[in-house]
Amino acid sequence: MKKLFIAIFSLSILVLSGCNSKEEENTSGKEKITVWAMGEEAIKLNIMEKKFEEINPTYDVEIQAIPWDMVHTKVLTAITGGDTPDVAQIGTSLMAEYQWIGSFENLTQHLKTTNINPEKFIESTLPSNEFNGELFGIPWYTETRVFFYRKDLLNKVGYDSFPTTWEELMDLTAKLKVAGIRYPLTIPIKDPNTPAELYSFIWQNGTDVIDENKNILVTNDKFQEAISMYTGFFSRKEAPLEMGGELTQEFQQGNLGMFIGGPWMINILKNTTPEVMKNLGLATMPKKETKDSFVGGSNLVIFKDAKNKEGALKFIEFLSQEENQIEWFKLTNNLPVIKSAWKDEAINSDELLQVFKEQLNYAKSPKNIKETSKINAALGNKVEEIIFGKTDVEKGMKELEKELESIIKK
Amino acid sequence: MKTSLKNLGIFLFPALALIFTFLVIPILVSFYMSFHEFGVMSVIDWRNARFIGLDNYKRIIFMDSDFHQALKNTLFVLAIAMPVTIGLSLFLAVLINSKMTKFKSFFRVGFYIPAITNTVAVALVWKWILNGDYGILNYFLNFLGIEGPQWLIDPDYAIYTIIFLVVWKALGPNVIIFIAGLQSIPETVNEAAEIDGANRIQKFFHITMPLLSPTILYISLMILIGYLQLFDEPFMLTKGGPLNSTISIVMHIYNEGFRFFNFGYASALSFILFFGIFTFSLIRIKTIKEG
Repeated sequence: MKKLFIAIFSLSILVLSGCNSKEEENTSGKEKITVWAMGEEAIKLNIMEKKFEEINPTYDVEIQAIPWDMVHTKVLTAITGGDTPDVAQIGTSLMAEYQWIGSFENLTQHLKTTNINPEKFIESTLPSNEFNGELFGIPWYTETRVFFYRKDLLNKVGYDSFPTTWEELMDLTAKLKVAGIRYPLTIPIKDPNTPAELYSFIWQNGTDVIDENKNILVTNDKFQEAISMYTGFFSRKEAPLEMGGELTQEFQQGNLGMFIGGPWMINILKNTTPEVMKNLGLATMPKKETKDSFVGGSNLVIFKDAKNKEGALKFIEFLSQEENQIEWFKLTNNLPVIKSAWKDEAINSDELLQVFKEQLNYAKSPKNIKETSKINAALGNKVEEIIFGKTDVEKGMKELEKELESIIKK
Repeated sequence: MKTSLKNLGIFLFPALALIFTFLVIPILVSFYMSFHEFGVMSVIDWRNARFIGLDNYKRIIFMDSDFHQALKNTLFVLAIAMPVTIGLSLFLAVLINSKMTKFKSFFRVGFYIPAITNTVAVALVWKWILNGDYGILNYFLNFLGIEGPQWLIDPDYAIYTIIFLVVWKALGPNVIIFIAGLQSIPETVNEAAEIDGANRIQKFFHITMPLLSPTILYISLMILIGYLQLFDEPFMLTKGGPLNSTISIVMHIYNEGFRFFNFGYASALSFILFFGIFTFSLIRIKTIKEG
């Protein structure tokens, strides 16, 4: 009955697009700004909202919480139905898909009327908003991935600090394995959405899946070397296909030497396994040609069909101000995107966060093109095949090239 | 009393309207979509849909290796899980229905519980049970001196794990239906056979089975339709992996439709699945009638 489901889905879209919701009567005479935010952020945003309304009493901000796993369908239904909010929080990796449908307002011109200055943002947070050199979103908060490792386990095999090169990293995982550590490191076999860890290794070798002109690069030596590096951890049994327990639990028990994670992992570890904190070390990515990592986070966008673009812009401007970025960090621990906000005492005094700050200087996001999700799926499938030994790197990449050709051509 | 056409219309209208809105129109739209390149852009404005004739179908049948894998997996699950489910649930039904069995309702409830539990919650528990390193299943296998595989991660075993779960979940309702079928067999027929000197096995094959054949037909049809639409178990437990070894046709449709938003292609896949189920069901009904 799935076909029915699909059909009903599309029908409901049609029906929805037919009935444009009527502008609600505004009794208080205030201008309404509707905002969509995700999960936990939506709850915390209410605090920022009150502050905004104090400064701008003529506006009435209405925040709607969308669960993270519903984002895709919810936003898409809204876009196709023309029933979008004024402002929405969009994850960096989803930007391309919606932008390609033409749902976001071009903000390049609008910015001139505000005091949002793109130069104030950390450079790596901007590309996911840029399409053909124009800005379609404003970074809100950011995150990047770094290594989380157990200092005591590294000491045990003679490492005082975390490896800074690929060679050292491989040496370290091999030594941990010999020392009887069950899982020297863990990386995903396949991440159905964004293979952040895999991309990091690819970028570190100075290459990418495709270049600026959409030429496919997967068969060149550097790319193959990166794939061999990634899959090698599995073939040498240094990375597990499946871990026994939860990541935090294995990490705390000393079964897991290291993993790659984002800033949220600090709080998770603090809350679930506080004992591990004294042995926790954070380090930026090891270097091959670069030490690039993946940059994620969320942007704020204004929809083309927004009813109150002016108010929406005001709200975004408010959220990207330095003091509000700092306050947002204090509320949620989400990393600020404004460079100057990082000088604040609360952030500057946190040693662990400095690693993220450093890594943000070497952070990238996958190319902003509409085929990204299909490319990621094809890449993930091939890497999985290599990990399970169904094909080797050279042959696998040749097959991947063919697949990508048919994806990108269309 | 004569029924006027007008009155008939008034009473039928609500039902017909519902069927048309939620069944006939969507199916027709989906059929239309299956001949088009129908993406998100086309949903916004139908003029963006490009007519491509049978290209979607051709691509599915001749080029789509994921579909071939999904078809293979689904048929494999069907081929193993269907006879096992029918055989096992009939066996259990006979046992529960036997006069010697005590605590009948306890067993009936016990076997039915998997069917009413939430797949999402149950999948989580099974994930723990089947975990390669810490799972309780491998822990018990260790006692027997068997080193259990990584049930959900090993491409050679994952499909059998899925089959096991599918059968486990389908057992309950089928046992109940079989019990109902068994209870509808009149006692007198059995008694007559006993007087004629038939033993238990003869009674089962010459009285129970023939009188149960409508129930068996019903159950096998329901299972056929249900298993060909396999989705929940692989979606919750393996996401179709490892190496697509547990991807099912409906999962493939889901991926194409809701991950990549190729609504046209997904519609074409749905119609292929529809005709597959249709043909299989016809064959099943035919074989029963002739057999």
